[in-house]
Amino acid sequence: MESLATALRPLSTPPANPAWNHAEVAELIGSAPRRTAAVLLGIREGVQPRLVFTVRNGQLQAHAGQVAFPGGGSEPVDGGSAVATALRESQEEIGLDPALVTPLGYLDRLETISGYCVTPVVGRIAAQAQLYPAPEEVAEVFEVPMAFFLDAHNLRRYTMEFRGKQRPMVEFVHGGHRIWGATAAIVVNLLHRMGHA
Amino acid sequence: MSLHTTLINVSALAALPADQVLIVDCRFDLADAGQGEREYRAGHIPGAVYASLDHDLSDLSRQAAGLGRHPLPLEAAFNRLLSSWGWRAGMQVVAYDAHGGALAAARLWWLLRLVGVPSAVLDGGYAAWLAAGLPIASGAAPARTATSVALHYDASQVVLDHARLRDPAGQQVLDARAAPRFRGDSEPLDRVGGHVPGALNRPFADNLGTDGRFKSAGQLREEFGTVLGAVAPEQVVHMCGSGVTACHNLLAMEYAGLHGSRLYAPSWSGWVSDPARPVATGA
Repeated sequence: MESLATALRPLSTPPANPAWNHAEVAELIGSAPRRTAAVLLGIREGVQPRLVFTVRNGQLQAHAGQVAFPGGGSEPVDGGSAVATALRESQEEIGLDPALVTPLGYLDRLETISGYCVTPVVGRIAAQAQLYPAPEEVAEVFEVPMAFFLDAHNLRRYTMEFRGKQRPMVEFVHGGHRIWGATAAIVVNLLHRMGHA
Repeated sequence: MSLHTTLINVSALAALPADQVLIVDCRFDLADAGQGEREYRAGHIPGAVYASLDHDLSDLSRQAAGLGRHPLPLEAAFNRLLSSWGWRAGMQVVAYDAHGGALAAARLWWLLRLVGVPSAVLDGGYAAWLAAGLPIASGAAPARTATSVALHYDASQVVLDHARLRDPAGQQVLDARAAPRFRGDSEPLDRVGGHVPGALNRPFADNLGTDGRFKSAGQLREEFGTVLGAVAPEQVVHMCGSGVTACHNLLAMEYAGLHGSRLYAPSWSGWVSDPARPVATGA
């Protein structure tokens, strides 16, 4: 995990537009301004550090039933801070006490076809943090060892036809969970920045 | 409040809110496999569940595979065990026994370490709880709401391959058995006495003071340093008779700030299951 510290964008300089996949997403949904959002890549401390994911409630309008990082759209109360958004949403969705999170830095921004520009915030979660899914938003919280992602064999690449074009996709399958789409892309961005994948 | 990751004392345990802690009674008597659970039913720390070394912390059906007298439970079985206890990430887990942590609280502590879950062993064990005049409960285990648990054994924490033990490069075997068994003077349990060639001896009982509690971190650090010399902690591979009391040495090293040692889980009973493996005797 030593490579993590140097892999991240420092907290002092939040990433600015455009997102690395802007052109690709613009081709699908145009260039209208994106709503800003942030997610938390929370790494629980321990001899086996683990990344925290959620399964979104099947009733939600956006991304129902998908594996995601805790997070959501920014609100005025966040004062424009992606860290504030990520911590506020994490507390709402999985009961994570912000006092138990040490923000470490940012990954590169990415856009989703739902029209968000997402800033991934990476933070360390204290070992004693207890997580409880908020039933109206999150069906389940689960954790995957970082070692699983650092093993290149676990990254699956495939292509999917979408709007008449073959598009490269990535996914991870761990236990009964399929991590794909924007969430998998964020993990791969982390691995790239750490010098893996 | 951060989690206790090596030892916890009686007063710290007594102060923890009941819904924030999972207490596990690991008392076990090698001469009578049912004794620990009978003692548990007669009296235990309130809220504690019971874990049997033979049935919960080992998979005896795998003995024939040369994995020693107490083969590790399969990952799925250990997940089911934690699930049945209602374990959730972030809980303080505390293991205790009546042998200073050696039978078999440190084994549970190490199994949890193997799946990346921090826990602590109650320093002084059940006797210290009683001596403090704290309340006890009796009878069957309290019902707990099962949780969904899917943890993974971290292969870097354990040595299962016997051949790896014969490669002296970058590792040092440290044996936790009493000196007479290590030397091969007497062998009460296994086919043959002695030790793996090149192994050093650190009887686990030396980790405890006369009061049955762990010696201070500073003293343990000095004593392990005397045994290990220039060997780095992460080069140490612990063993004992069956991978149980070796966990006591591993715990003592972690408590002493000597981090990253590993366990040869099959230990002596696994090593001597193949008569072709070399055996050294004497000091």
